[in-house]
Amino acid sequence: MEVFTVMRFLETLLAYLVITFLMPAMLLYPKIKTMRFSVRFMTYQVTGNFFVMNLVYLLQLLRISNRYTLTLFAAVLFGAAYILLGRKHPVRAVKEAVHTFEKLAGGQLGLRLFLHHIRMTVHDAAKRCIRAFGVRIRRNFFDVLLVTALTVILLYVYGVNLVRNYGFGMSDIPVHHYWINYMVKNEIFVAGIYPMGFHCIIYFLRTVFGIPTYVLLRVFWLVQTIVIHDMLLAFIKSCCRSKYAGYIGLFLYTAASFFGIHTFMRYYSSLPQEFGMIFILPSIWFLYAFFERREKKPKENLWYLACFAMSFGMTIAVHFYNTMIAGLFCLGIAFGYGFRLFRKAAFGKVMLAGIISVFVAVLPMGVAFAMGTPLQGSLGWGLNVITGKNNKQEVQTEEFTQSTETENTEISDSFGSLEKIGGLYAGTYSTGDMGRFRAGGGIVRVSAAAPSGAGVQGDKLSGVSAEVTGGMQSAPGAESLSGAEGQRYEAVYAPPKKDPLPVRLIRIVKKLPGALWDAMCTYLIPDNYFLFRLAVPAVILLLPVLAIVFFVLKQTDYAARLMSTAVFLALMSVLFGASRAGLPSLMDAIRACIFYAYVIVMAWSLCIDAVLSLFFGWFQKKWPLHFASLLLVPCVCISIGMAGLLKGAPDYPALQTNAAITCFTNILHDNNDFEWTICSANDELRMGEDYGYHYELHTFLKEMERSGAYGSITIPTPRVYFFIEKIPIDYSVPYENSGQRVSKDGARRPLPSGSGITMYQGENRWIEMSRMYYWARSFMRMYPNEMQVYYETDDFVCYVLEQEMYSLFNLAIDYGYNLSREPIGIDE
Amino acid sequence: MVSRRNFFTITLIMIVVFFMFQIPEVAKDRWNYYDVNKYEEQTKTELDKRSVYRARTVDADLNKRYIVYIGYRSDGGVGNVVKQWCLYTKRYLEVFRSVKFYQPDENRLPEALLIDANYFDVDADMDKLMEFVDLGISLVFCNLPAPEVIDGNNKLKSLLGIHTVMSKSAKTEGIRLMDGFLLGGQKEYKLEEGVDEKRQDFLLEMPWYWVSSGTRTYMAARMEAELNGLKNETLPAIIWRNGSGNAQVFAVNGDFLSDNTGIGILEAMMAELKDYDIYPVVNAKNLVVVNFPILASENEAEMMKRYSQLLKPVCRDVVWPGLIAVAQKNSMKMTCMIEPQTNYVDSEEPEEELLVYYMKLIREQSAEAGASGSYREDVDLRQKLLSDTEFYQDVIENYALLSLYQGNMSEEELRGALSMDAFSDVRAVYTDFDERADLFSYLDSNVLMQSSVNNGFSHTFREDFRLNSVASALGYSSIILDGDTVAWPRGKEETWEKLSEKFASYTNTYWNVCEKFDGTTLAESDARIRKFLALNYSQKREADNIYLNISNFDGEAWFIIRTHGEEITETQGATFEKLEEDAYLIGAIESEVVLKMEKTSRIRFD
Repeated sequence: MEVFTVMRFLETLLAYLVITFLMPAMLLYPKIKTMRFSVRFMTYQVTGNFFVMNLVYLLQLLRISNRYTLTLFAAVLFGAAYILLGRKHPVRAVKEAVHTFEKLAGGQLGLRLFLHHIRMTVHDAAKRCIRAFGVRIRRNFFDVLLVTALTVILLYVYGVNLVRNYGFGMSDIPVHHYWINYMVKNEIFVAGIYPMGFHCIIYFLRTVFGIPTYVLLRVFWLVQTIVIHDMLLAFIKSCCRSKYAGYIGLFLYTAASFFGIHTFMRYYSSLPQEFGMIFILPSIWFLYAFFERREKKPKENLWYLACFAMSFGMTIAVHFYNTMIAGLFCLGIAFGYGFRLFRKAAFGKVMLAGIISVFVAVLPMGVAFAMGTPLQGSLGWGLNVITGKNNKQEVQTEEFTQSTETENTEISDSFGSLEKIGGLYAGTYSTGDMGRFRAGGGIVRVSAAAPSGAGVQGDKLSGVSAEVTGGMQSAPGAESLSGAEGQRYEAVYAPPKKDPLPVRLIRIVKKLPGALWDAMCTYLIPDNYFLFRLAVPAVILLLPVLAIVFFVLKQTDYAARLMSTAVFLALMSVLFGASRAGLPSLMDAIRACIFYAYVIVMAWSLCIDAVLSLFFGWFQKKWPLHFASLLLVPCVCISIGMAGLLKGAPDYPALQTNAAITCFTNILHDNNDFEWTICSANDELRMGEDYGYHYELHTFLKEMERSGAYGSITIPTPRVYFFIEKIPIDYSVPYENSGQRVSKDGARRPLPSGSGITMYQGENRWIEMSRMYYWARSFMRMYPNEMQVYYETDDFVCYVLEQEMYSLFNLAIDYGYNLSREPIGIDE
Repeated sequence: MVSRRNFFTITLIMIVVFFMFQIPEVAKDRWNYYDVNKYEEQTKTELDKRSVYRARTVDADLNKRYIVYIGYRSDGGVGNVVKQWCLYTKRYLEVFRSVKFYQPDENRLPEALLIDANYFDVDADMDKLMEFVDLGISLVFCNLPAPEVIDGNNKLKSLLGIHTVMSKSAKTEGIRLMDGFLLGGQKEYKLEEGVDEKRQDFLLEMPWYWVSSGTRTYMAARMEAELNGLKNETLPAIIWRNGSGNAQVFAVNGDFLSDNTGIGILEAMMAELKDYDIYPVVNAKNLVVVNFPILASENEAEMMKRYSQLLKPVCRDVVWPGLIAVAQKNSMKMTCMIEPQTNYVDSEEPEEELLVYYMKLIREQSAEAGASGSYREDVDLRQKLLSDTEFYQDVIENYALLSLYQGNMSEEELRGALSMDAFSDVRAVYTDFDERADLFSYLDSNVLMQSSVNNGFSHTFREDFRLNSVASALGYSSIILDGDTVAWPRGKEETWEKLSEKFASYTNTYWNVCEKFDGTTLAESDARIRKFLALNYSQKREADNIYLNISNFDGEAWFIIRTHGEEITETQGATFEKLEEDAYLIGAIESEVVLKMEKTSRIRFD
């Protein structure tokens, strides 16, 4: 399975590079060959992804998307672009080809000579490529060496987990899987309108290259992680004056272990937010490039602006969080390059590019919205966050998926069912809201217990029994209230009086450094690496100083970059520490830290580059600067190693056992499509949707509850597979006895009631698996030849049931735990 | 002008071509030893009636092949089937007239307890049956008590896995045999449009039992109700199995076990009880054309009317090529039971040249010639036999007639015939199919009787079921064709164009189940049956290897192994061939055989 996974990864990487590197390079290289490789790389990525995303969007909205149309449109558009950009003359080319074949058919051109021409053409082309490649390697030897080293580190730090844990790393991946599955049926936005850029790419790879979606979602995260890092490197290299300063940041980011796990944990999963990170920095660089070359090369400038529009648009098309980061950086640029932005000619163009980018990104969603598709739950939430109407993060999902976003319990100015009357909030509430009231400050006056559904009584409450104050104070009444969970009370909540704005601002500014430090210590650099912690505020302070120095030295462009980065970092810091500083939280710190770590290494690299430039930049020759930066790379690496800060290959557990993935892969291989059913907990539902059927394990057990042999459960496929975890995994929610084996004790427990994924979380999963295990054992006794073990490991077992389609087995049996009587014992 | 040189070349080429075509024909004719039966030496065997292996208690102890039957051994019905099956599969059989007489020995439990419902008292025996099941003894109800009896006894219903007795008598439209029970796969015995109604000869009125969870149905009825949304699982079950406690309980709703068809059903049930089932088989498929060729020109008026030809050219130019085509297509070897003449009172005598001609053809086709014992009622049997033997001795004196078709001779007449000198070499007597008679039995110490299984001109649903059943249990099939039907047609339906159409279509279509079995003549199958009856075997499994030890081994033996999701990957001391999914034919060439098994659905990406 390891080899299979690696092969699949390479296949995916190759496919992705074909569409985002090779094809754009074939088109654009002649036009942009004078640009640095890092810039060309960003350009290829942006154009390739932009093309694929919008092609998929277009065909999906027209509902004609399939392998043939996608390939045809891609080929035709590529061909058209090739002709246009390359100034080719297609008619002449066709005429020449026809003429050659005429000569061939007429015997004027011998077959051997014709084949010789072809062979020589291919031979010459290959020779040219190899020679050019060799020259480039020689010229950029250290770059090749360092990029290779970086890739090896990336493959070690992240890739090891690919072959160690095969399953999905996050619980919301099945949701994305579900959306992609429905794109196969030309039902984009099946669960509502959502930025589907990431899904478009996966869908394209699935459809055109034939790689199953579940495989893509298993391995694509490594591809995108490599590209994210490469993009960071490309950006830094493009911004820096020295050739190798960028590697310092990259090596710190990938090889050093001082960053907290939250800063890179999500890289282990194929998620839209992380995929969208690819487009943040290119959008910034293209904007830099626009401002810096605005007056020199107007045509090239337009191209940069177009690339900015594409990449910024893709942050919207993939995940709004990326747009927030890119937006903050744009604000930084507005400050850094203000002297150029706020000129008549530039301002209009930039604004227009921004509007177009937003328009292009939002257009497919707008079209779908106009056609009556509602917003997907999380999108609604996102809009509410932006407008400040909601502070609760929740992703609505399909029947068996779950809320995937954490709930933000911090209060703003709304209190669920309490209604605002004058300056007060009144109504009924449950004790579950107590924490929110406390966090929100103010005073809650609570009356005696009122019948459920009691009306609002304003401030005319009688018999006030408790008063709960804000903050963390515990009022006498609060304790008693919190003891009666679910009980509803009549209450009047008086929000705290607001101080005047300047006072509040001063208070926030005062709190901000502490809040940032706190957030940084919690998420960014949790262990006590003082120097690295110090390096964070230091770079925020140092960058503007350096920027001013370079302004003074009249190196305006470079100074503006530094200043933009400095302002962006300051804004990012506000975002990162916002909730702790009492500001509205646009992004929870646990997510913001991913972006923060990503940009902080960029800032460090820029800072080092700026310092080196100060010392060595005044030389006419550039090599002292490059040499100094090159020298720093091993110094930093050795220092990290000597300090014992080398990052290992974390074992980031998946939400499925390896055995389940192994089984699933084999089932796909062994069976014809739609001739099998998997009965399991949740994940295989979406994984196998295009190939077979799924029966929910909980539904299976529930239908058998209290009916036994008198019930009827039939599954109409020749083979039915039952996935049972002998040691149930912790599906996001651990419990006291996590890691225990299925047992009779578990099977004796009542079947969990509830809905959604909670059935498979915590102890519930143990109960479900225990019951399923004993069902399988009982059924196997009845059908020893028909029900067999398909695959078994220490922690997992898969049974396969083969049945005659004309006489299906009734799977409802009395397995000893589903009837209301003393259970019969089944041998272990 | 043709030059002399060219003329010489052309002439030379023509001479070469002429000889190229002529030499093989001359050689074929010159070296065709038609008057020698090549199977005489090839099939020579010392095995006779005394060699037949009858299972003993030691088999019950060592090999666990032990069956208890509640019923009557010689009832000509279920008892006879059980007796035959145990003989062929080397199982030790104990018979009791009632359940109450059988006391299980915990150290020697039977593979299964077979129950004839006629010898089963529900009220008295039920508790005992439950005890047997608790002990782990699997039960086979060879037929079922009356539906009202079952309906009135919940214990019995539960034991049989019957959810509800839906109806005491339901009219069904056909029968469906599920895949994996008998060789030949799934079968639908339901009349479709355009199918001859005579083919449906199953009894379609039966009690309707709806079986509950824990059961597996192997054969079920089909009803019009299927179209009205009735689920397949609720249709009347005919053969099913219920997983009950420590044992399995099989039930047969109908009389399928009261004739030879039951042998295959019983073996299939045993295969279902175990991880794998290995049992000896004959591995023979015969095509026996009795009363053919007819060597005298008879029934001239009818022949002229039907074919505008006399019988002699009809047999030679019409019938023979048709037979050869079907035999070759199905890899069968023919055995022709020659009938020199039918009418012994007229002046038409059999032609010697014609016999020589046919004997040469028979030799060319690796077929075999035998004698036919059929005679018309107006013919004296003794006169016929004397006349025939005289004719044979005149023409093919050295040809050893190894097989004889019993025809309408009685057993006594048969014994008398065999005592004649001309039939002194006869070892195999071929009989028409009799569902109550043994398929293989010794007439005397050295003459083995083997029965046909199907008629080549007929293939009803029951016959198809029988074909699959016998093929599954014994690896044996034998088609009989009667030449008299062609020579003495009784109507339009019996003309060769109609008969050959039926024969070819039935054989080419329905004999697929026997595709992998060896085509044999009667002498060959006789030798194989003798070996089959004489051998005994034991087997054990260690990990993935099955060790098969054959005693009374006489050079070759065949077995069928039926598995559940396993396949043979390697053998020692034997060859193997896949018959179908989970079924293999093993040809032992040594007495010690090792089979290496592997799971079919193994994990490929691990």
